[in-house]
Amino acid sequence: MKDNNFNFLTKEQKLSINLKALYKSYGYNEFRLPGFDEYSLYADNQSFIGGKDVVSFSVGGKLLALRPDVTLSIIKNGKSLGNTQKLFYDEKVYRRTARGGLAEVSQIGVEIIGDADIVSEAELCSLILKTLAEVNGDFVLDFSHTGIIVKLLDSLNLNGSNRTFAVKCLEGKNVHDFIRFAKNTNLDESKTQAFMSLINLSARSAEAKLTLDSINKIIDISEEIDEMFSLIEYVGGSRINIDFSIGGDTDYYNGLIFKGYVKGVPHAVLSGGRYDKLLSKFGRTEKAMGFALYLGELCKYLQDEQSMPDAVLVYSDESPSAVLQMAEGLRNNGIKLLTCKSVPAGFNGKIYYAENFK
Amino acid sequence: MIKIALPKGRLGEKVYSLLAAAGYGCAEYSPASRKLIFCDDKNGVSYFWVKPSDVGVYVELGAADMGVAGKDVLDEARTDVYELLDLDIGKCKMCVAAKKDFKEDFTRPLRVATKFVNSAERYYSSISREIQIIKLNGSIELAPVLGLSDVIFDIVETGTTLKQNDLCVLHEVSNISTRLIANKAAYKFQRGDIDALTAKIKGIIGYGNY
Repeated sequence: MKDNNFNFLTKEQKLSINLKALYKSYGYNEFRLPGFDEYSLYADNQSFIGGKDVVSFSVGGKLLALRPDVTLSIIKNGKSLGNTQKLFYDEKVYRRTARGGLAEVSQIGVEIIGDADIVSEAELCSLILKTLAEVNGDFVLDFSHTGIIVKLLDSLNLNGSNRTFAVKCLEGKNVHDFIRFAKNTNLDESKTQAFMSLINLSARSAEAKLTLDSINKIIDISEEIDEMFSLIEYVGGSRINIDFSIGGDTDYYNGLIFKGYVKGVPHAVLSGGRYDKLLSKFGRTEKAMGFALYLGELCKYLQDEQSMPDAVLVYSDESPSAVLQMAEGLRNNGIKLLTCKSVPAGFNGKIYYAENFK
Repeated sequence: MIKIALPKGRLGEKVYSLLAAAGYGCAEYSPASRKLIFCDDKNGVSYFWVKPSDVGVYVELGAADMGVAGKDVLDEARTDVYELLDLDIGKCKMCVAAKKDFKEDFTRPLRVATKFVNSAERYYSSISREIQIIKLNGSIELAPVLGLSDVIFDIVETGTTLKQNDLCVLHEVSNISTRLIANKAAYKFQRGDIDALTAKIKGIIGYGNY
């Protein structure tokens, strides 16, 4: 009897299959890439890949790197086809760990490149919600908007290290240090208050909307507010929070940013956003948005039960063909069977001894 | 249930008293006990004592939902957590200090003794000064006295140790105090409870210092 329920697959493998089926059902095409690219692609875009330490090597004098990020390679290797490309990938990414080791992790994601309008944006959000739900029904999706962050930082005339410090306070929900900083640098009081209310923003959508509307009276962020709340309305916002602490590099991102969390995992498992600015760095004029689920990192928290065979066939000096024949006979009867010379430690299933078959 | 990592020692006990006063006490708690974990179902909290420098790790990696750690430790490890409140205790300054008669030689790298390697490197990089780090784990003040380093990069509370060893502060780098921190993902799922705890503590310590 064959096991057609695919129960032998790990949670990571099942998740990968289910998500690919989901993206396919939306008509998205799979994009495959080589595992390496030119080192300069990653070195020139360090902050987009979150400062990840790249694994590099030289071939014939050409410096290459094992891919630490998929989006950059898709943009570089993809071509403007005139129409909107909606695609997904399921790839490995490589990076150096903090302790100098090497890590290979799975990443699965979706990219929309071309005319990324509100329909595509809503479709992407819907896919994000379905992706997180596939991982764990208890999830939270955070929304932020770089447009609002940039406008507030600009209105405070913050540049260089001061700007970095303010963003760090926003990302850490650190109001106390921001207040001291604002006092020491004599920032405009009403705009300081506006930035503080962004740090302290309520998770409740209605309250967050009121706060953002009051900021809108000081700095015009009406377009960004409309974009965020229209999307929440289109896709259903019960699991969506507005939270500007999720940050996002404003050199690359230029609109909505997303971060997804699932219960039981102590860090974000999904991130993405609108990255037209990244495309323009490659001389492309289209719009783009996407997200990635850090499947490999996530799966460290999804325990798979170690599956044991139903039975073992222990052999010693019997003829190989006899052992193989016995094993095949048992397997044909639907038994998951392991051949071995001694019983594995902890095994508590059925034990067959080849010598008894003589 | 909120899991809170407390730093072992006097600071941790002080913070526990603050939490207990805010209504998050624990019937199992006893200062004399050597038990590392204690919890109170009624108040919805569990505490565990960890080495002060490890609090950030416990919180960032989700073993604890919240914790209490010095800003010096958080900066050094660049801990990725929410920093919800300055508890305004354990106050001191991160300083560069040297022997009273020290004259800096700008023609060679500055030898800096410290246990805060990353913070020292970031500080000197921000002022474009080439340094040689000498990593020590304690008695940092000895290094310039014995000629092991030119300066030290360390926290200064009262300055008494510096004075007694003929050292003086050259630069004050930053203010340090104890912070209430939370794991970013835990905050998403327990925001109501975490915000309520933070607000109660804020109510006790007052907001005057901000």
